[in-house]
Amino acid sequence: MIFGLGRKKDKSSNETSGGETKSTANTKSTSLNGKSAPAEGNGGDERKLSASQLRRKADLSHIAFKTTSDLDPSLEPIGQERALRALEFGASMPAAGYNVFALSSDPSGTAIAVRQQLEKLAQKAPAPDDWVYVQNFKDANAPKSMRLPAGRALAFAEAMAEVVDELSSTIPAAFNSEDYQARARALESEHSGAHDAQLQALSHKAAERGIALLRTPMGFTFAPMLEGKVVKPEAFEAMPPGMQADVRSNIETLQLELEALLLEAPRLEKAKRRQLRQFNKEVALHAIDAALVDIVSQFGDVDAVSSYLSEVREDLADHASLFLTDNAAGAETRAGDQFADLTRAASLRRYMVNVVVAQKTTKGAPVVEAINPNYGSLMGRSEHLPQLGAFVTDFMLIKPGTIHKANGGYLVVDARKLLSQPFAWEALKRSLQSGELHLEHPTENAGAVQIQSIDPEPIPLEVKVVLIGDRGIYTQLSQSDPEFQQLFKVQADFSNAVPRDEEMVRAFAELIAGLAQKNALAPFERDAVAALVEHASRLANDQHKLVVAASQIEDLTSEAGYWALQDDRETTTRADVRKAIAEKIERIDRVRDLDQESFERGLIEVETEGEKVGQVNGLSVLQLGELSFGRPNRITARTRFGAGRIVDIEREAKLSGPLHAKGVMILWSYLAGTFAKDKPLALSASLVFEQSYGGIDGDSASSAELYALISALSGVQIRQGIAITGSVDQFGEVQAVGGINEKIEGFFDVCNSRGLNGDQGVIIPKANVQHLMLREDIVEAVEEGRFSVFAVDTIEDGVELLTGVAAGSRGTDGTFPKGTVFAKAAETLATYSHRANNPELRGEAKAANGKGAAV
Amino acid sequence: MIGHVASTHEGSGRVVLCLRAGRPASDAAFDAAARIAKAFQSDIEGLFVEERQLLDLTAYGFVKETSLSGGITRPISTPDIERQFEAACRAMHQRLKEIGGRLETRVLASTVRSDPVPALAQTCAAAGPWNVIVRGEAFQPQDGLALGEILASVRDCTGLVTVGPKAGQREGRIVAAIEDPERMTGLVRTAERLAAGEPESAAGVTALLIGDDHQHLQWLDEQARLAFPAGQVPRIVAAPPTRGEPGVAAEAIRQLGPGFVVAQYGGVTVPYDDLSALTVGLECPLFLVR
Repeated sequence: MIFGLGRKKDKSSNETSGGETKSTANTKSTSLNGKSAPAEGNGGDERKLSASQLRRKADLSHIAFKTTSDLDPSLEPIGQERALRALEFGASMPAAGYNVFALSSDPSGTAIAVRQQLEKLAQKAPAPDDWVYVQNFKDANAPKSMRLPAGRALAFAEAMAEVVDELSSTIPAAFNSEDYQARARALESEHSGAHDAQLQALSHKAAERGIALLRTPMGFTFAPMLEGKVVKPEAFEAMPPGMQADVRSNIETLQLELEALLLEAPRLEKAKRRQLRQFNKEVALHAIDAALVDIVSQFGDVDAVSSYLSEVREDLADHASLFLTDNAAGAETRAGDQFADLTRAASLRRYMVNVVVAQKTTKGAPVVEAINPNYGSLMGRSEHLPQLGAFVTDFMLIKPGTIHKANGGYLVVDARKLLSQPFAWEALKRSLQSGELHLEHPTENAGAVQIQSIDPEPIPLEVKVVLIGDRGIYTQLSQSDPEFQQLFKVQADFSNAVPRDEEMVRAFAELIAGLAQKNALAPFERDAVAALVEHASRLANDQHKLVVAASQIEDLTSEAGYWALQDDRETTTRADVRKAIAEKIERIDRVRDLDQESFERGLIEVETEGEKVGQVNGLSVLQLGELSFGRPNRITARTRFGAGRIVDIEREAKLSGPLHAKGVMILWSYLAGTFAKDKPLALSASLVFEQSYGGIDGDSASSAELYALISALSGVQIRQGIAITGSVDQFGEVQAVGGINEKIEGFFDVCNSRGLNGDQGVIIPKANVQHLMLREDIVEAVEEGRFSVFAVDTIEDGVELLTGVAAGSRGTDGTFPKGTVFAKAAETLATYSHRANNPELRGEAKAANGKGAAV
Repeated sequence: MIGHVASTHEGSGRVVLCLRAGRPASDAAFDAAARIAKAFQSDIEGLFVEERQLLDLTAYGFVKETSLSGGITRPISTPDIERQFEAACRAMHQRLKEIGGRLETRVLASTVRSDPVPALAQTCAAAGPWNVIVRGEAFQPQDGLALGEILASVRDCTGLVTVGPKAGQREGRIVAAIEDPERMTGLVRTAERLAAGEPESAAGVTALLIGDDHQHLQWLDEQARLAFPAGQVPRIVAAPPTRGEPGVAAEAIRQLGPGFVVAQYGGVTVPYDDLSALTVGLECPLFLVR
């Protein structure tokens, strides 16, 4: 993608006196190499910039140091007082919603600065509490959250594990003891004996009455008995009727007693079980109380823990049998195995403690940066394990999110990363709104797999969130999310560049000292710091600014330090800084090399010598990720008689953006205003970026296009050794553009590869002079007269430099001085106008316009 | 008799598992039958006894049956009782079949309508002298005499195996409860045969000496060491003096955690009448050697 960058000019005036710098018309006014008039380094031409104007060298005279080890090292952000005040305000403001959005074009660097600032604030704050999740003995699906004073959660978890370990030994021992066995047997025999005795008694009672109690497959029955044997029915019939009646009566009575006795049996059994359970509980409690003594004395001061331990005591007593199963022993030997841990779910796992937040110290609030703010890692999650075809979980599988760790302190999040993660932003907002941390499963019902979920008790949330993002994200959130402004009421605007004044340069030097110390680099020499200052200006594309993006500066200092180390130097020198810059460029510069090669091999035609009508070298910048470089583009113009239409071929081919189209319309307006105030502009023209196959946008080529058109109209040749950049307004004022350094360097490299001849150079807008931070090899070339950079205010200045002929200004009689470029152009247009006024020739004009856009 | 079989390694005989229609069969009894059959490489014959007297009762119009829960009392009829017999018999056959499959041994089943003891006598007499009877139902405290009646009436058996209401334990040493030096060798040899049948459980044999007092125990100990050749003396443990109290013997056995107990009928360990002590403490099958 090729594009130029437009920039508005600060200057408000829009009138120029194009004749102030002109020489005699129709003569070469300027020797480009300055050899013919070498005064003041610019040949006496104010438009030609001196070498010192092309790169502002760093002046460190106000700082006394030899190397950075003489300076007070600092890692403080530079020139961000406004943003830091806002950050401190937001971080300290107790009211809800005063979270901070840090605006920055360098999120990673800003995150460092934000963390530093927050850490200062955090040091003064108390450490927040620890948090754990424990089993809810009444509802296992709703684990309980529990707060402990800072730094005590891990000890509590360990103490609980020790309790379980101890009980794993002591409970089985208690239940295997002879004492327990004897008492349990006694209890058992007491009850079963009672029932058996009752049956036995009934049997004896029946026997005394000559009746036998018999078992049937399904129950009991009574029968007449004689001498221990059931009486045969025929023998019974032979008995006297009175005796038979007695037997019947007795059997009926006994039957009723038997029913009552059997109906009583379940109650007795129940009573027996209850008594046995109570006894078991007593035995278990004896062991449990002994095991809990230490933990109660250690954590009894924490109300929540004290209450929990009471519940644990009761639950342990009710579930002592868990310690008597194989699980208990197995759990001990397989500790650490997650799946084995899960198998403890039905047994000892219920007494474990899941520490979700444990403060390392008891002083200071946490400052946590969410490195990968996806939903799970940010908000926490409950993990699942497969078991019998389903995915199950419990309180021990709750994993805390970054926000849990930041609770009670500060959470720093990269807004772009956050917004790119599904559910994360919405979940963060919900938590901030509710002031609670809920564990949710946004996707659990989406799949076909059966997943068991839990609903842990929420944890109160007291956190200050600092989102870091660029202005685009801020604007987008402000416009599209009504809750954003309510939750992020504070804006901390971090500037990427700061003024390059003495104070900032000193701070910058101290930052270098700080980075050198932090990263154990060889101290930076004074000249190396100067090189870094100049590079920071170059990064800002401004002689009066410094880029202070921490990540960029830190990278460069580290790399320079690396090269110093490679050369066994004890200090880091300017050469190391230059090498670091050069190496970095080299690493990413392959595409630029290929581009340069295409110029050298003539694949892309750009003329850097000679003169030509209707052809000029424009400049553009290619941005490919981190790589950004300039390159020349041949712009050509053809004119002919027509009906006031221009064919912008880029636009027609849909290869240009709206800013470029606007630039073309403006230059057409300039032409009309300059040459056709009182007659129709009977001109048809076409403009094209030759060999441009990608899209272009921006208006920085509009002055170049205008020069090409004027040349085509006037027939005056343009020097091909000069490349041009700059936008133009309707009055011919040349305006500042972006990427000025890359553009100059791009053309210089093409010329240099072909051999500099002293006539080559670049015309830039005067307003861009302040942005010049050119490479040192270009500065040297200019100093030696092998290359030139011109700054112009007006199109007329540029015409003169490009053609060597005065542009010409309209006199009081409405005409341009004879022999000037504009006079020749006006003559051509007058011819066209004359033809336009001739009805016989109109049809020709119409045909010539083709599909050109009307202007 | 069984001691003779064991010592001569004849390896024949039959395990007769006696199941009474009116008594619920214990799982432990089936398990004990299987273990004995395995130890002696014998067949198992399931003898299901449909007690005649229960059928006789149906002729009484006024006799009713009360369910085990006590919730239902209803008249009993011959078809009802026969249906119950049939269902119980089918269940027994099924369980026997499973045991046979597991042990890869021959399992027979027969049903007789009779009283239990005559039925056992008849079955054992038909199969030859080397029978071991396994009683299907768990014994009750008052069942001492019933055990004696079987041993007395069924001549063609070498021993009687019975289980208590708490039976379930099958891992552990084989304990021979020695009260009489005359019976010592037979009991220990039987125990050794049982232990040999369960090599996977590494069950050894413990001779538990049971005597009234220390002097008696001392004497038993001496006799035991004399009875076995050097190097073949089993592990010998003396119980506390019983002073004639069956509970002491039962507790001594329980503390050893045996997988099987081999004992004589009619002593302190297994009294003739009251088996209360064993119903509480015995958790494994009891082999009463004739």
